[in-house]
Amino acid sequence: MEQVPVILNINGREECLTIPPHKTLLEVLRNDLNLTGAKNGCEDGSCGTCTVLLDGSPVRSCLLLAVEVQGREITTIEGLSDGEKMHPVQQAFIDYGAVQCGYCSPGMILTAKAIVESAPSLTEAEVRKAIAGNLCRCTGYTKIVEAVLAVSSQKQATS
Amino acid sequence: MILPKFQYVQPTTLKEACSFLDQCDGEAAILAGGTDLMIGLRRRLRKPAYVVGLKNLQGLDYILKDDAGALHIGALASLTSVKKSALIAQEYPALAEAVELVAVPPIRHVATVGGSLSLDTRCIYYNQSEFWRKARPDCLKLGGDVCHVVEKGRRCLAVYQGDLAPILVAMGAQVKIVSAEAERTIPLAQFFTGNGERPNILQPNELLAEVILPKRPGRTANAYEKLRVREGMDFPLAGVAVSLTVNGSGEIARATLVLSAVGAAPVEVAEAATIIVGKRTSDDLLEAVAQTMFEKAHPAGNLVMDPQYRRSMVRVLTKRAIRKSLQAVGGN
Repeated sequence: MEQVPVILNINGREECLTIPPHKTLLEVLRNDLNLTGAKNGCEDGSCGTCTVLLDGSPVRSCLLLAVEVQGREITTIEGLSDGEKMHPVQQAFIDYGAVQCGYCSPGMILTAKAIVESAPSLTEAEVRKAIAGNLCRCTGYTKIVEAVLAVSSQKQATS
Repeated sequence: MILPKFQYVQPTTLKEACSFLDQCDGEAAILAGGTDLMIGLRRRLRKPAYVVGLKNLQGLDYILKDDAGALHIGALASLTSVKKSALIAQEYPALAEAVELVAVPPIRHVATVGGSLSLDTRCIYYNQSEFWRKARPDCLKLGGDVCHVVEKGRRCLAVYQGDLAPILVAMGAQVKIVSAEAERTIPLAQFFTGNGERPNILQPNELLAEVILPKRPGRTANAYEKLRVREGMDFPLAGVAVSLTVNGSGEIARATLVLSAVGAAPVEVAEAATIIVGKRTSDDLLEAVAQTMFEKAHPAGNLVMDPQYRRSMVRVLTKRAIRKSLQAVGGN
């Protein structure tokens, strides 16, 4: 099987790999790079557990080929914390009880980060619309929405 | 589930892409946003020898207005870029609203206008994994000789479920199709075949390159209403798009109504439009238009909702779309 060299920019690091072209970004993240935050859920782009940020925007890593995203900035959940210090969105998810089993959390947190950073302020309706692509079977979304609104307000207050 | 193996090529210009498609002799699949093809590959609905990846093809994602006031949208423009475009918000706000009805934001960030228009037709018996489909003989769309929707059916009933096409057809859009040797521009309405097995007229060596919208006439508004199960994500189970021009006396000067997601192509229903042209709308007239659209809709039991309900909702969507357009244009 033909293998191709790829250079991926993941969480600010350059990763050089040789892979067959039919490998998805999700497979490379989990199997080649041991970045198992992104999950395999529905395999058709509808659940959001595979969500990563591509140049800052949430996308489905299960619907992208690794070869396609060279030269782009990829952020996974592992790239959010700063050493021991959690990202404000991660901290808020813990403080507000927005994590139960945690399976949706990586994708959910990345999507939340993207929306918080792209809008000076957010309404509940806007948050719900933004996370519509991330399914959660445990929490019923209430605490997740509260956490995101809290981060957004906090950001507004300190800006 | 890993994807089937293929050779990957990544053209950087439109010319290069067309040249590849020519050489691949029908064995290539076009990977634009990937939100449809990747699933099709995973399910082994498609097993192309080559995948032509367009994510690094420059210069096909523009949204521009020409000197005549017509809008040109490159086929690789992402749905999010259409939603955010100041030009589209100004010239065709209903298009931005329609785009926001597609799936969810992470899909829209990579999905393209061209991909939406050339979306393959769908059916609950077709869009399934290889494992699921192995329990049944291949259907017509897979190249077999049975239909699982209608016993002894000879015609594929797969449904076109793209959300951009209905309103673009209603607004009089054209599409530019290119190949290595030629290019042609046709009305979008003629892009669709109405054939569940081969939904559009694209040849294997052709690429949809651009959508062209005429300058929006004065006193004209458009609307698209979509029926789906959830408030996000889902494909339409019925759709109605309307374009209305109102004259100074508040009468409908021109109307186009498009019925979608109940058959293999979005279709313009001229009989529905003639009911209101030249008149001021009234509840009775809207009922008559809605009834005509209902009679033209023949959904089958091949999507997730009961077809009778989908058909009944065509009436509701028609009235909603017309009222929404009238409100936007400041009519009665």
